[in-house]
Amino acid sequence: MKYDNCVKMEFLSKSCNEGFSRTAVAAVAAQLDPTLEQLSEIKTAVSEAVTNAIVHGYRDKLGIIYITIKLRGQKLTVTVRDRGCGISDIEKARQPLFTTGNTAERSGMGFTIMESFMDKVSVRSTVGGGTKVTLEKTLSIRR
Amino acid sequence: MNTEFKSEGDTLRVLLCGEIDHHSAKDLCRSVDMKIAAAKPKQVLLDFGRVSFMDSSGLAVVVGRKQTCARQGCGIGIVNISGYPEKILKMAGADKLIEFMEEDNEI
Repeated sequence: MKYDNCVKMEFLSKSCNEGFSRTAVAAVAAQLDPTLEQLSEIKTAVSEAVTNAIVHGYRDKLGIIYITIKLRGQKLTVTVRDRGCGISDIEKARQPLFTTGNTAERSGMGFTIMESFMDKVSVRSTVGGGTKVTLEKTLSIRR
Repeated sequence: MNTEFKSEGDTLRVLLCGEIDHHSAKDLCRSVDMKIAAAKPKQVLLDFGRVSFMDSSGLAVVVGRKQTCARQGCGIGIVNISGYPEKILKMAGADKLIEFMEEDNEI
């Protein structure tokens, strides 16, 4: 077994599932005994990834969002995957304040927040095939 | 997401309560804009004291309300913000656009 625990879930890309998905990830991450601040950061990063999948990945349609949460030692790995439209220029998408969405709703800070709150953020995307965002964070053992 | 409004003289206090995300932000923005248009305050205070969660949607809420207030000709400030919501707003430079104000004994 390459990990200590693994949870998978899938749900419709409806905005009412944003709260559920980040809370579910936080509930699993809680097994690593994070601080409240670390839990909030994880929830925020997941919320950004899920919102991106809803708003950009499945722009004008509904689809399924897949989340996998893995724990290994003190390391948390969360992948958020969609089968939506994909990102043509990942570099550009990751730049602060860049958004293809409605600027009254989206600030273009999603990836910047994910990067600032997690240790590592990787993005794989195929135009027309979908996007997979992997978020990693190691939680130091509390004394 | 519940929003409460408190009129304090010429100031309208907007008590944001609960979780601010993409799902809740739309209704939130609409109700705050409607209240500002109806109450015509001189100053709007966005009070983050009861916000339990916020992602980058909070930034869009703040920047958008700054624009609403500019159109209505009133001032806007942020109070009772701390922790990671403050970090998110400052990350995007919102503190250069809107004053983060200190208050005593306020929830």
